[in-house]
Amino acid sequence: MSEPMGFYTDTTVCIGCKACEVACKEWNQLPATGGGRHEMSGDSYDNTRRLDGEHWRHVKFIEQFSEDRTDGRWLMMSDVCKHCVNAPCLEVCPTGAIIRTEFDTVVIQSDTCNGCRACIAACPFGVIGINDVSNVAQKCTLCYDRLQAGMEPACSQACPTDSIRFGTIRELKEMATARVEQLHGLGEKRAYLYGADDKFLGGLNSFYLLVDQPEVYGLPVAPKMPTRNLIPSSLFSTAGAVVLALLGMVGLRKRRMDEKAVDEGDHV
Amino acid sequence: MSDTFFTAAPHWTWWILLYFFIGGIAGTAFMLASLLDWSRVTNPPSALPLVRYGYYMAFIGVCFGGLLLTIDLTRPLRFWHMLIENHTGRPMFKPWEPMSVGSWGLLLFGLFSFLATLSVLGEDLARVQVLQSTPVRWLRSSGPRAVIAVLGSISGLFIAGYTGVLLAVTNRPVWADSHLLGLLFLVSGASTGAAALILLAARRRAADPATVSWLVWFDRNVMMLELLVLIAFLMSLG
Repeated sequence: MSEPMGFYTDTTVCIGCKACEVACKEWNQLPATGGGRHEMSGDSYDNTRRLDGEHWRHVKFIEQFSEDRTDGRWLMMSDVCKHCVNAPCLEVCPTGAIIRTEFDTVVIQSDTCNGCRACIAACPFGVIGINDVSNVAQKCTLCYDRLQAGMEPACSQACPTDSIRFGTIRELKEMATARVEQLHGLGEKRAYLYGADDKFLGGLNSFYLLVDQPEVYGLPVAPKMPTRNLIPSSLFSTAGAVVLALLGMVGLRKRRMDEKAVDEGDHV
Repeated sequence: MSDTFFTAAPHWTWWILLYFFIGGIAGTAFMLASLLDWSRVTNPPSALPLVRYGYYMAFIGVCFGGLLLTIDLTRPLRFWHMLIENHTGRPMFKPWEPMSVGSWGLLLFGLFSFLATLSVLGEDLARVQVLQSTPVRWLRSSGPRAVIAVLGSISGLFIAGYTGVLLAVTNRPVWADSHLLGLLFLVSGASTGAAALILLAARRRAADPATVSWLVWFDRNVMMLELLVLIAFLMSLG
């Protein structure tokens, strides 16, 4: 097993050029949505809108403007699969299609996935989607093929501002911590790291430097594993099953008693 | 504060909704039919019409349900990947994942509802020789009959209830915010299953008034329970 690898994305230097999106689509030969029919969002410079089976990188444009539009800012964030250390999608995948690689990344094996979409409901970040050409669930592989050949993922290589950094998690964390300190020193006190520690999902192998609340970027504050609900839900359902069976039996007994009472009444 | 945050909509739609409905009816109809079958203290070789219809409903329901789940996959021909690991050929089973347990549960419930159907079908199709053969008759003797009734009812109730647990074991708002969805699905399946049997009894004149009144009594109580669970479910969402 190699050292855990991942992405550190510094959203403060992202300029929204979408080179990562293009590089990702090129390298992974991802098809256009709807057979290439062009679809504009109509209310934003962001026309990708979401991560799905055909978009494994998505530059989010968070457009914050004042009421009279005299003041405003863009928060830009190149979104991608978080390659969670404890991955909800991997936990629920019923076919075993989702695996953890030697780089500690999470990959969906296209030849095993049968498209049940359990992973789509389990992912707290809304990363996974069905690819309309392969008809299986797909997402960022952290360029597993390139990593195996000792190369860097296509998106981070293409990023012109080094907003997307690739490396070992250990190096990336050092780099990110230093950057937060630098920003704090410069007066940007809002800067913090999202997913760099193991506060949720055991940590994210693709973590972020943000300057606003996670929800502002469309990220959950405290995502959890799906199986947290398994035991209590199952216990309630099992208790319900026992109650139903007993209710059925009590009803039959009641009916027999009634019949008996009628019979005895007849004899009198 | 809720653990969930809306990021993307789930992709399960009409086929799955229909399966939830049919699974609930099939699973609970089996339990009610087998209870009725065993309510007669002796070991009758013949089953009441409503017992037979309950078993048929379960078997047809589980077959149709399996079909719905298969066509809902975006790669239907790979449905067997749920049961067997395609790379190794080993059994695929994740006890912590409701969909994985449910795939095996559906297989088991399919088996028991098939055996139950087979054991009583001879009474409706008297001229089919195979159904009068010794192995089929053996299924109605007390031992096999008890095993089919108990294991079939357990797997049937499982099928009626696991679907709600499956939705809870996700990260979608509402679904994953309550522990009562499985219970709600189970109870609502039971009232619908009883209602389906009542409907069939009325249409086919298949049951005596006492049996129908038992089902009506059961259905009424279950619906009261369902109302309580529904209120508790809404309250648990906070």
